[in-house]
Amino acid sequence: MSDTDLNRWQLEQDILNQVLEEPEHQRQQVLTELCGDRSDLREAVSELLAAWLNSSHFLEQPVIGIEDPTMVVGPQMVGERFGNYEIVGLVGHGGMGSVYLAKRIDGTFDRNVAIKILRSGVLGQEMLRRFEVEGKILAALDHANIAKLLDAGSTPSTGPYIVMEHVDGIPIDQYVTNHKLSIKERLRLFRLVADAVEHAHRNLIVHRDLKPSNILVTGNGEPKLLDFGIAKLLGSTPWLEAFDQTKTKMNPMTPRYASPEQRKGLSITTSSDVYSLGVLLFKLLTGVTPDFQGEYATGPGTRSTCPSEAIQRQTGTDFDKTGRDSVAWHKAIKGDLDNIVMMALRHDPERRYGSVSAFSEDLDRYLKGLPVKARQETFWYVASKFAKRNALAVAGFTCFVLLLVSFVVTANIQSRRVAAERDRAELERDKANSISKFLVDLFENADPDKSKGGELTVREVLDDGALRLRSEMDSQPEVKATLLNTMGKVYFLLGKYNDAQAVLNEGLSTWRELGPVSEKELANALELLAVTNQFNGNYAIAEQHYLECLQIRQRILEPLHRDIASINMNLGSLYLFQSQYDQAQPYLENARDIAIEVFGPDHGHVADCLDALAGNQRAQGHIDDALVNYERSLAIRRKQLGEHHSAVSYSLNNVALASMDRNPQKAASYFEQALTIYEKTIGLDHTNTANTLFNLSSVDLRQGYFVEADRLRERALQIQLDTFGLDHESIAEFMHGLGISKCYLGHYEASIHLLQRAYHIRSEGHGDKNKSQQVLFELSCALFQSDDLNAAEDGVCEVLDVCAKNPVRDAKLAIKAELLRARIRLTQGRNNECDQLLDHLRLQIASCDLTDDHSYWQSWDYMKGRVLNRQGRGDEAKVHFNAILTRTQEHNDPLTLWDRVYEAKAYFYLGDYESLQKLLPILRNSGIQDRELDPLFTHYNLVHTSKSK
Amino acid sequence: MESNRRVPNTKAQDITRLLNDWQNGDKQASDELMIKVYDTLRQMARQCLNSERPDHTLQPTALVHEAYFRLIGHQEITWKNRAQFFAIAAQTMRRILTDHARACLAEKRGGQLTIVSLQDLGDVSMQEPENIVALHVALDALALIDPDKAKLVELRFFGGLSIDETAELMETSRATVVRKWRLAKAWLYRELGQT
Repeated sequence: MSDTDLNRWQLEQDILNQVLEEPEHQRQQVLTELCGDRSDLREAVSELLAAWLNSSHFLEQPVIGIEDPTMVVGPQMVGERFGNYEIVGLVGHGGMGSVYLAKRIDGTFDRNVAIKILRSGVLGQEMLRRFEVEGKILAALDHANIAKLLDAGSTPSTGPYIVMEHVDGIPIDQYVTNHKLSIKERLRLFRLVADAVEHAHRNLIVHRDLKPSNILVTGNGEPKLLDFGIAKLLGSTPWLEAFDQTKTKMNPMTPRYASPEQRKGLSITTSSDVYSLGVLLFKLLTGVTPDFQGEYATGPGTRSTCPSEAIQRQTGTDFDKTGRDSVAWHKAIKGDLDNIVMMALRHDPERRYGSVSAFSEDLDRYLKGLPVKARQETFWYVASKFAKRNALAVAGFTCFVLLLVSFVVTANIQSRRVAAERDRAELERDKANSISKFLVDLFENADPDKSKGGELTVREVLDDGALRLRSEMDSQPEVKATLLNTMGKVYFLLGKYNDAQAVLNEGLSTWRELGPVSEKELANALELLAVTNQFNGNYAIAEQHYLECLQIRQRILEPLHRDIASINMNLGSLYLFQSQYDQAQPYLENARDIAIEVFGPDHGHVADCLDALAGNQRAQGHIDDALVNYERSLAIRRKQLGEHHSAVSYSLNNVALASMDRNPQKAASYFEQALTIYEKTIGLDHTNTANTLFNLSSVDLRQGYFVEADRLRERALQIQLDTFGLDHESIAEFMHGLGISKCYLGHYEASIHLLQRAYHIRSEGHGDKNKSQQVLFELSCALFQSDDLNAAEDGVCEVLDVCAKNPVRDAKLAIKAELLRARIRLTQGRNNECDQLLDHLRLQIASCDLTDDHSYWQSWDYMKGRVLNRQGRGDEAKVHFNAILTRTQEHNDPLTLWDRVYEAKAYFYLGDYESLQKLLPILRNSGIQDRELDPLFTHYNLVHTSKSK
Repeated sequence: MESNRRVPNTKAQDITRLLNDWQNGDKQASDELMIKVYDTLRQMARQCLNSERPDHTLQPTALVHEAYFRLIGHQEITWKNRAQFFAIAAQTMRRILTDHARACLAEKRGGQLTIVSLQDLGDVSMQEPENIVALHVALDALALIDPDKAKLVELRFFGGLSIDETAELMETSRATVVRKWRLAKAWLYRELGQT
C-alpha cells in the first residue's frame, strides 16, 4: 500500500462524514457534487456509505461464545423442530425475539402457525421470566380477535418458545387506508379491537403495547390482537421494576402509543390501554398520531390538538391524496368524536373512560346518534376538583385576603408551603358576604346560550362577570373596586394570573382615584396585587407594590400594627425567594418583633415569622440560628394546634431541612412524621405533600438511596403537575430535582428532557437567573454523562458567561462549571489542557469560602491524580489520591454517597483493591451511574465473578 | 480452569516487570510477555472453542479480563501497563482465533485455504471459520492505511472491550471511539463484501 491509499482513505472518510450530515434523500446528490468528475471516488464512497448504513450490527456480537440462535436466520433454522411443529420460514424479528412460520409435522391440521423464539442467550433471567408469563397469559385468553396460543415449550439449543396462531393480515392502520374505510366503518372495526381488549381486561390482563403493528386485520376484515409480549397479570410486581432491571434498552413499550403514566414508568392499569386505544383511534381517524409536546404534555394546562384539528392541518397533504374529502371528515369528527378521543387521551388516568367498554359504548352511542358521555370539562367539574385540591382556599371567599397573604408568605420561604389553616377570617364580613352573593348571582344568572357546548366553563362565567362589573358598577366605585379585587382573587385561584392582574390593576386605579379616604384599601389592594405578581413571577413589580404598601401603612398606621408585620413579612419573603438574603433579614426581623408585640409570643403568626427568618438564616448558612428558630416555631405550633395539624408538619419539615446535613436520620424521621400528618389532614395529593416528598428524597439521595429518591421525586412532580399544570415556575424546581436523580441513575434521556424543560421554564420566567444557570449546569452534567461532550461544553460555557456577570454571588457555581469543564477535558484525553484548567482552579477554589463543603477539592484532587497518572507521574498522583482519603477520614458530618464515590476512585487508582472491594457494593446498591465509575465496576465484577467460581 | 486458580505472586511480579521493561523499550520483554499472555489465553480459549456444547460460554471480555487476573492478579499496575496488557491480549485473542479458524478450515478442506466473499455480513455468524480468517486478512489491510482503526477493531472485536474501556485505553473520548468504530466497520464491511 502506498501513501495514496492512505490519502485516499482519508478523503473517503471526509466525504462520507459530510454526506452523512445531509438528510437521506439528498445524500446521493451531495455525494456527486463532492466527488465532481471522479466517478471512481464517487463509487467507492457510495459503497462505503452503503456499508456504513448496513454495518450497524456487523461485528457487534462478541467474537466467540455467542449463542443466539434467533439471530441466525434462514437455512439454519428451517427444518428445526419445536414440539409437533417444524419451521418453514422466517416471519420477522421483534423486541422479544424472532418469529418463524411453521407447520405441523403430523399433518393433523393443515394450517400454519407462528413460532416465537426468545433471545434467551442474550436477555437472561428477567426476560425468560417475562416469556413464561406471556405464555401463561396468552393461554388463558380465548377470543375470536386475539391470536391464540397453541403450545409453549423449551429446547436446549434455542431456549423457550411459544407456538401461536399465525395471522395473515396487515396492520390495522394500513388496512383502513388501503380499503378506504369510511368513518363509521373505522369505528366499527375499532370497536372489535376494543372488545377484544375488554375481554383481556376482564381476565385481569392489560395489553400495555397496543399499536397498529400488533393489530392485524385479515383478508376477511377480522382484526386480531397479537403479542401480549409485555402484558402482565394485574397485581404482580410493578412493571417499573422490570423496566429498571433490564435497563431502558429492553423496554418493549412503544412510546407513541404509551400512556403518560407508562412513559413515566408509573403503575399501569387498564386505563393505560384506554389511552393507547385512544391514540389508535386518533390514528385511524386522522392518519397521524396525536402530537405531544414532550413527555409531560397533555397534562393539565396544555391543550393538545384534537382529531378534527389534526385533519384540518393536513389539508393539501397526503391525507387528501387518499381520496377523502378532508373538509367533510373534519366536520364529521369535530364535536362528539373529538370529545370521545380526547377523553380517552386524558393525562390523568382517573379522568379517562373508566373502562374500555365505556369507551366502546360511547362510540356505539355515537354510531346510533345518541348523545355521548364525553364532554369538555365543565365549571362544576373544575370547581369540584379545585375544591378537593385546595379545600383550604375555597373554604370561603370571606378569608381570601388573609389566606392569600399567608399563602404567599409560606410559599416563599425555603420550602414554599401553604400553612396556617387557622381561622383568620377577620375581614369585614358584611362586605365579603355581599361579594360572595354577587358571585353566586353571577353563576346563577349566567347566560347559558353563550356556551355552545351546553354547559358553561368557569372562564366564560368570570369573563361575563368582569364585563358586567365594568359596565354596571360605575356609580359605586368603592363596591366596584372591592368586587374587582374579589374577581382578581378568583382568577388568581384558578390560575388565570394574567386575568387576575388585569382586574386587580383596574381595581387599584379605582382606589387611587378615590384618594386619601381609601388609603387603607389602596394599601390592601397593593399587597394583593403584589402577591399576584409575585406568584406570577413578576418580582420587580411585586417589590414595587409591596414597598408602596409599606410606605402607606407606615404613614397611616401605628408602628406596632399587624398589617405592618404582614407587609414586612411579605417583603422579606420576596427578597428571600430571590436569594437576596441580606436585604430580607431586617424585614423578617421586624416582622417577628412586631408580631411578638401584637399577637403575643406563642401566636401562630409569630411562628410564621420565625419560619421565614429561619429560612433566611439557613440560606445564609447560619444553620445553628436557623435550627433554634425552627424548633421554637415547632414548639409554638404543637402547643397551639396539637400534634396532628398540617402546620405542625410544616414545622417538622423545616427542622428536618435544617438538620439534613448534620443528622440525616433525624431529618428523614421528621419528614416521615410530617407526611403522616399530611396523610391524615390534607391528603397525599396536596402540593405540601409534594414538597415534603421531595425533601425526603433529598435525604435519600444523600444517604445513597437513589432508586427510592427517584421514585419519591416522580411522585412529587406528578402532584405538582396536577396542581399547577405544565408551565408553572414551581414545576421547574421539581423537574430539576427529578432530572438530577434520573441522571444519577443513568436514565440520561429522561434526565436531559426534564432538565431542558426546567431550564426552559426557568429562563422564560422572571426568577433568579442563578437558578436557571444551576439547571443549565446540571443539564451539562447529564449531557456529559450521556457522552454528548460538545453539548455539555456549550452548556458549561454559557453557565460561566452568566456567572462572570455576578462573580461574587456565583463563585461556587463557576467553580463547579470549571470542574466539569476539566472533567470533559480529562475524558477527551486532552490531558495538558485539563492540567492547565486544574492549576487555574486551584487558586479559584482556595479563594472561595468552602468551610462546609470539601467536594470541590475531592473532585480537583481526583482529576489532578488522573492527569499525573497519564503523564506517567504515578508517584505524584498518589499524593492527590491520598489527599482524598485523608479528607474523607477527617470529615465531621456523616459521609454522603459522593464522599464514598471519591473514596472508591482514590482506592482504585492507588491500587488498594481490597479497600475498594469493600466500598463497591455500597455504590452498586445505590444504583448510581457515573462514567468515571465504570472501570471500577468492571474491576469489581471480575474479581467478584472469579471469586465466586 | 479449575486448577491454577490462584496465581503465585512471583508470576504476577514477573508480568509487571515485563510490562515495565517493555515500556522502556525492551524488545525481548515484549516477546516474553506475548508468550505468557498467549499461553494463558490459548489454554482458556481452547476450552471454550473445543467444547462441543459450550453451556457456560465465556465472552471474550470475560476471557481477557480473566487472563488479566490470572497473570497480574491484584498487583499494583500502572495505567499504562494495564492498557498495554489489554492491547496484547486482544492481539493474542485474534491470533488464537485465526489460528483456530485456519485449523478448522484445513481440516475441512484438506489444507486448502480459501477466503470467501461475504454477501450479507449482518446475517452471517462471525463464528464461521471462513469469516474469521477473512476478517483477519481484511484487518491487516486496514492496518496498513489506518493502524489506529485496526487496533480499535482488534480491541473491540477480539479483545471484547466495551466502548468505554476502549476509549480509556486509547486515551481518547468515547465519542471518538464510536465514530472511528463505525468508520472502521464500514471499511471492513465494504472490503469483505467486495473480495
